[in-house]
Amino acid sequence: MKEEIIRIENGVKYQAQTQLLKDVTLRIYRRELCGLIFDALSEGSALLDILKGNQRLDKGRLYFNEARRGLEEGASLFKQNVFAPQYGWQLPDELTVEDAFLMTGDRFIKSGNILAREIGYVFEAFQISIPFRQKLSGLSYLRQLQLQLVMAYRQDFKIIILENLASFLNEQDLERIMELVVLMKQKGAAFVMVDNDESVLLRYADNISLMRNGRTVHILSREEFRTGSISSRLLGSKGLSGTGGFQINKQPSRQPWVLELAQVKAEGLKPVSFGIGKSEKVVFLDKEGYFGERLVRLLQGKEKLQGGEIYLNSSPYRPKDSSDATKKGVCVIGENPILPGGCLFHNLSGMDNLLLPLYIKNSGALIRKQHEASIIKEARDYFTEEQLRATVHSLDPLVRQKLAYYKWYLYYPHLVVCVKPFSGTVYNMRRFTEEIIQKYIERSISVLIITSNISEACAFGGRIISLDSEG
Amino acid sequence: MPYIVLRAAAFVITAGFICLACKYRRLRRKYGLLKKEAETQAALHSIDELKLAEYLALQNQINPHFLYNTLEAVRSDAICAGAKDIANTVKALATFFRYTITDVGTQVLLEDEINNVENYFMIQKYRFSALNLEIMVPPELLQARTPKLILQPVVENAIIHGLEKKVGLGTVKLCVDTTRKNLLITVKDDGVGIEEDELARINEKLNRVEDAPSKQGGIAMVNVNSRIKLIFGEDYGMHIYSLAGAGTTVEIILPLIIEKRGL
Repeated sequence: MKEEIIRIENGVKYQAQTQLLKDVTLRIYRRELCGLIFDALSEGSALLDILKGNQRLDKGRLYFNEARRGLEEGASLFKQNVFAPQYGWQLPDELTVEDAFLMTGDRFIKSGNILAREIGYVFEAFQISIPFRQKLSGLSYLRQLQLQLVMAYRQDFKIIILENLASFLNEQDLERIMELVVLMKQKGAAFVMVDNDESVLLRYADNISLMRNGRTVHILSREEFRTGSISSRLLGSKGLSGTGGFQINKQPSRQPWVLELAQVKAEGLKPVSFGIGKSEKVVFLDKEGYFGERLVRLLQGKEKLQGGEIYLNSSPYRPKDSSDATKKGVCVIGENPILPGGCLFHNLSGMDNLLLPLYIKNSGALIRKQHEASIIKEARDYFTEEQLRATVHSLDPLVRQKLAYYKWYLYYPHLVVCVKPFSGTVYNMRRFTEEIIQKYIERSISVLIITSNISEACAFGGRIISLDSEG
Repeated sequence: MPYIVLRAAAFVITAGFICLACKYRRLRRKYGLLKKEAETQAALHSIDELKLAEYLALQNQINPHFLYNTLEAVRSDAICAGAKDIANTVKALATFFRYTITDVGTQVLLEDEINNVENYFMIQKYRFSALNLEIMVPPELLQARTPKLILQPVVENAIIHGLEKKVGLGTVKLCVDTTRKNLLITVKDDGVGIEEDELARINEKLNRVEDAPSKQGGIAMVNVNSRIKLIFGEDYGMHIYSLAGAGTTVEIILPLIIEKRGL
């Protein structure tokens, strides 16, 4: 017997007169982890906002513990029963683990010993070890998350939302969190999981709801989880048809290509051929991540071709290194470009970061003042002058994300390669990323998006090239 | 007996049934039975009575008792002629009609519904062999109460719209589970699925409680959903999930009512 906590039937949500959610059905049961896969981030954000109690459904039916409840009660019900751990601690850093328990637990002041004993029991039950007196500021993200989950359980939250864990945790830490999740499930907790990396959902979810165009189109049980079938279910009617080691949908016959791969070989894979047209956006979905990585290295000149040929505007393309690739007009924005070591110089100002590629392009022949003035004017929709003058490390992540993408918009190459563009991003960063990629296209810059994530692949639209399971 | 003869016999039986059914309906019309039914309906004033009348109309009752007796006779002949397949199919057909035609009230045991689905599946398998049926029901739920004839139309839909158009073997899975208050029945097929727009249109239709199928031209799924909602209210009913090329799942939610044995 399943123990239903929340049921949403025919849920509808409008946002600024747009119907974001059209017919959402969602069931959350005790002791289960429900995965959600969306084909549009706006829908995902809208549903998560409803589950977190930040928004309410406009239409539909809502059941809580199998009793029908009014939609107007939804927000308060969700707030009382749903917990979403934050990336970054919400309590003052100076507090200790013990203080955090005292503040978020019951309202009675307890002696240190009793509290310590209680925390001890809880930690023992969930097999975690965090020193009681440790300051919150000193906790790793793994420990912060463990602590938040345990405290959520102690506060009797019925449902916990796990959002994009794979973006913040390494494989080992993720494994440890999921061990805790299994223990909490056994004690009756329910989880909702959303992740850019579907393989995480496939590994841990008990069921997965697939959402397309604001509707729940399928609910897959665990036995139906097979990477191949789930990708075909999500990509559905986009109509992939196979050629060689790849599945290519609607490969157009337009030529000449801006970038063309002709029988390109990589270790362990069949030869690959495909082309990207001018002003075209192509998503390369590589679930294993292997060929995508090799492809980026080939395009940056970091790896030699093992066979076949790559053409850029019909001429053989063999860059010596990434700088040469940039000069030839192929620019790469790596995964998490805003982190140190990404594609920004953190000790330089935003303006310097934008100007540097232009110096290279024009072989140093730039009149700085004039260019600065024109950039400030040109980029005023994205940056204030203060932001452009500030050093990158002092800027917030969204501005850094904007810089990472905007510098290639100014540079105006033939092709921009974006690797896992949503990795480690939050909603407003994703929205900007989608927007700027559209701007590239409008500026006749071709875009190749490389991802291992099906939702991410679907979010951008355009042509999807998917590496099939046989490689 | 050559295969073509068996097929011909099956065709004759089916054609015979259709003729008999048509004749029966004509007779009913002739003697004003339908008119009488309409008058009876008009006489029902309370909302509950109207709902009951609507429900009975939806059940599409026909009552040719002689039909399955004839089928039994055909079955005997088939056994004598050594045509086992025909005999078994005719038996399944007779059982199917007996269940469909017999008026045993508005609700039956889940066990009966499942037996009826198995019978129906056997008949379908005779004409379309690449079918497979998997049923997963906890034994204690076989005594649950359901409205009559809610599963067979769903399975029929899965076969006709999902599996017949599929190349190769198709499977229908019928799973039953419960929550504290509800009975959850899912019918999954791995057929061709439904296009997104069509799926949205069907679910929208299912979601409109006020639309009785009689006004809409009577789609089987809408009919089943309307009957459930008429009996139990709008908190219950069905929802369809599907992706083109990947199969369809029909989920039915009913209140959990368990028949206690020996009482």
